[in-house]
Amino acid sequence: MLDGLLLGFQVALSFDNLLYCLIGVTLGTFIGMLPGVGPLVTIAVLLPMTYGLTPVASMIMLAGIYYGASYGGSSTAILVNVPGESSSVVTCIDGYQMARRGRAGAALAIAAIGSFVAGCIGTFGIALFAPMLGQAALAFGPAEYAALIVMALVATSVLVQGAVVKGLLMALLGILVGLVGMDVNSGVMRFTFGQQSLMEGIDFVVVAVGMFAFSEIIRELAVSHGTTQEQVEVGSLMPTRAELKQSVKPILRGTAVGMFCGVLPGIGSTVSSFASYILEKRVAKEPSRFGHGAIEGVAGPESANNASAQTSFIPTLTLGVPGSATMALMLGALMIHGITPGPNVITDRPELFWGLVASMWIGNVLLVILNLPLIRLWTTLLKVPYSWLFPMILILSCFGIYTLSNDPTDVLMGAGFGVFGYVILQLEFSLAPFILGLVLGPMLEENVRRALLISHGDPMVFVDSPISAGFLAVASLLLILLLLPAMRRSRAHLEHEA
Amino acid sequence: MPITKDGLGGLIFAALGLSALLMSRSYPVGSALSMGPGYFPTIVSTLMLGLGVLLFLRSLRGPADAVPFAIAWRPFILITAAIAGFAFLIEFGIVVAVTYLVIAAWLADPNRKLKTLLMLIVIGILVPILIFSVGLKLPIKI
Repeated sequence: MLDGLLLGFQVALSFDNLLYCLIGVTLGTFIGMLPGVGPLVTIAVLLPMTYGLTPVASMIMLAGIYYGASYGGSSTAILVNVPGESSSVVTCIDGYQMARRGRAGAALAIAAIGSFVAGCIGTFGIALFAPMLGQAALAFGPAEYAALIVMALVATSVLVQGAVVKGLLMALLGILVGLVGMDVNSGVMRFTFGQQSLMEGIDFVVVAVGMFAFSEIIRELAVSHGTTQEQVEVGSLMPTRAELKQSVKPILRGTAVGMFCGVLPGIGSTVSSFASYILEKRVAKEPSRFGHGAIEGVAGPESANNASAQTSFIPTLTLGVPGSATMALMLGALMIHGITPGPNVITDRPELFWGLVASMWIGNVLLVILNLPLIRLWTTLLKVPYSWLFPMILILSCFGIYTLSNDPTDVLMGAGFGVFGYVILQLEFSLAPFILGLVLGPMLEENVRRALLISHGDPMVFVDSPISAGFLAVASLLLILLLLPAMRRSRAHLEHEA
Repeated sequence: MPITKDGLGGLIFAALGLSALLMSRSYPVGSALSMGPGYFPTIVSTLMLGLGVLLFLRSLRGPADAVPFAIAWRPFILITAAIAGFAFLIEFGIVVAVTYLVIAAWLADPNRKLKTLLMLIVIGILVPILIFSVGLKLPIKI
């Protein structure tokens, strides 16, 4: 592991990669602060521009955007009570109350310190556990992979907000869209409607930009963005000794919760921050302080969401099975570069894996430097109105799609996915299962095919192996539990309580 | 009784599942031992059809939506038209396509102000030229 980390720092500290890391975290902080522009949209829009970069550089930059956004999102949550990201929704509760009592600076500092500590432990966690998981995954055959993919899809579908059936439907549709194009085994054209341009399938970027960027712009424009709220004064950045002491345990607990949640499919940084908040409230001596500016309510969730942002890379890189929409986009970015993530990535492309891990630690250092001393500069950026932003997003999206292959039909298709995405979002379906299905669908088919070939067509192969049976059991258990009305009520209760 | 979001969603997915199923039937299914190109799509689209119908049927018994299904027609149509128009106009170059795109998008903005329009067009033309033509050296007509 030490050799790996050494190599990683060599890669990540090269001038180019350091630059892309800086660009990534700066952009991430920026979009994290802007409501209406999230890491998903940004990564989707920037995907085509990373074609020219090396795979390492593009991953470093995209990852920086992702965890940078969770830093930036907390600043707006504390200062103006508007969560820049869904993962900082809980931070609003106590963070803004602290700000109103003149402790905004302390809240920001604790959020940054917590995120930094969580980021460091998280990075260390990846370095420690990812190679172990990669080793274990080497024993996975096609049956195990198929079962794992099914579990990831089911977990994402049932854990998103809204009805379980709706999540599953989106996952299925994603799989079907992923199958468009020529079947590699038989050469048969599937779902191409006789279009030559669809022979190689629908480009991932077209779907991602259409569904995430275009549909989101339409949704944001439907609500009138008034002028930004009055801001509170940042005040002194130094937390008092008592505040620091109060935050130590929540930060460590939040980190543990976040690291655990990040590895699990379907449970993203948003859920982990909620979980951490509830945990802090439960263990607190005076739970009544929560909601009135309890510093633990900032420290815990902020550490949790950053830790989970880091560890969510573990299954994505070592198994090739992403657990969230953002991770699915990351996987898509890797595939664009011709790299199929899996247990062999660490041994075959050590510079990619360790470079990314090291860059995350460097990125966390950069984020503290960017966020704390420069916080006043950032808050002036909050005044950029959405009216200026969305035309730029639209322009970059259109050019991004068009330049894929200089084909205007791709742009039209993107518009089509935008229309569909908007309608489906208005019907309260979630996009995350769809994008996961899109990425994992072809992998699922291939693994099912191979598993059945090895077993001579015997479907029992999926339950014979204990690993694969275990994955499928978890998937079924999740389905049964969440379809039971009692569980649904308690989940609603959990969301309500947070 | 007006149709709920779940009901409408169920119908949409059932229709999508049904059409995918009909299309899958034209591909050779093969057997479990050697899956043909139609094997997997048939399973997936059947599941989709089934769950879509289930969602629709369940919605008939469920309560009405608290917030009814609504589409914000103005941004919906204008943004779609902006993107689609861009697709047709890009062959005439960046200036033409971006000018159209920005004007159409600007019209969709509830907080639009006339004085920002010109600025948006100028920046909107400069940014992609700098990124794609100058930076990435892609052959796009200006």
